[in-house]
Amino acid sequence: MASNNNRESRPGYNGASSPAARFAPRMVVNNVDKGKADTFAACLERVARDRCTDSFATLFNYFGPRIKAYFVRLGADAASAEELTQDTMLLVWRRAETYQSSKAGVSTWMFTIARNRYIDAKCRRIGPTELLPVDDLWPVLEDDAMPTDEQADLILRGGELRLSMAQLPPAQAEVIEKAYFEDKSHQEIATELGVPVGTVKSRIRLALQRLHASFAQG
Amino acid sequence: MAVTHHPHADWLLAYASGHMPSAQALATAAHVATCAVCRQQLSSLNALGGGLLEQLPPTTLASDSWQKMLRRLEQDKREPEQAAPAPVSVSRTAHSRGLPPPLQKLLPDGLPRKWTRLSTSLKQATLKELPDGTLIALHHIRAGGKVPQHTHEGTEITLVLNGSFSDQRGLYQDGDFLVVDETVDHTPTAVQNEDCLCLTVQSAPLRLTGPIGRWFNPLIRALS
Repeated sequence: MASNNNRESRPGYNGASSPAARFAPRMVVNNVDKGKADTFAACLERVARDRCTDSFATLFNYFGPRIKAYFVRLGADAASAEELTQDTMLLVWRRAETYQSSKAGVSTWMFTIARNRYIDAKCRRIGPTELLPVDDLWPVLEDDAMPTDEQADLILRGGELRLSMAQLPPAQAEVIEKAYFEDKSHQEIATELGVPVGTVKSRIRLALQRLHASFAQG
Repeated sequence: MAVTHHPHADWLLAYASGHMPSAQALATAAHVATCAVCRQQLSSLNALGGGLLEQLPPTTLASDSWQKMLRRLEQDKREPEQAAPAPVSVSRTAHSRGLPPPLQKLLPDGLPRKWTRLSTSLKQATLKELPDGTLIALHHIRAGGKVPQHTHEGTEITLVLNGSFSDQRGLYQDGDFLVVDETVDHTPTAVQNEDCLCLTVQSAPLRLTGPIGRWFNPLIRALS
């Protein structure tokens, strides 16, 4: 694919002159996690091509317990979380061929599918007032959006997130975590933390600025 | 034309994390579909979600989880026609071409034919009213026309689909996204040479505040 060629021919890509090379610990994390990400991408490819159950089992064993944990954090009881995890993994099985490694990391793709099952379950609880299918309101992968160089790097360097999150001040990391994993509005998060909603919003903005900056700079 | 007004980072995060009502998600998705900047932000936010997902301490699955999964896969192989609907790609009809994809899906036959005139230069086509009172509508402002001065009881999202308008705070063009709440009292005015078409999502009916507006209020309440 053109985008891949593009990226690989870019000077400094994964090479010694890469800005990431200046930070040895990051390189280690990168290599470890990039290996893991490649394994998962290869598994998805075999599921898509050969309907390979063993490859699917690798994905299920790693992501299943994490996806279940995600639903539990969002407030699902154990039985519903188990059911939603099964639904998510079934979609992974069915849609494996739509996954494009040039557009998103496997964990990113899994996250969007799981998130959409959560939204779907929430909508169904509220009532039969479906506006459009959840996957139309929250597209899993943008059809025509080619990743920019920055995004391509981000996909390849998914492992850096661990370090980047650790670099955030605790108060910022806390709101980011809550924003993703708790079924609460920013107003509700503010009430829980006993701060004005403006503070929650500014912590989110500052955290994202920092994360974006660390993604961009390598 | 470059989009200059975007949703804030915390708004996009609420969208990316799934903590946003579907009507607001519709407007956000429609903006993101046409805005490369926000598409990139959203990719990063999804990647952040993926990273956080991987870092969650795993929960133990039920003991029969894998067996159950295998049975579902087997059943799926036998009856693939029961596969859950993947998002369908709409045929881009002449009518809906030019609208962002989520709106094309909401309006497969193109723009609505039934419009209600709210003032000499403003008309409205209701797309959907949700049980919680949220109104999803298209608003059309005639070139150079003014919308009566108004404020909002809840929040109102406006996405410019075509043309441009300005209010006390700035100029909004194709693809621009703005959120106003009850603290904003504004008089949107379309530019002189072009009509303006907007998608609006109102969480509560607008309240007209100018001298003419107060007269129109009962009418708007009757419509919404």
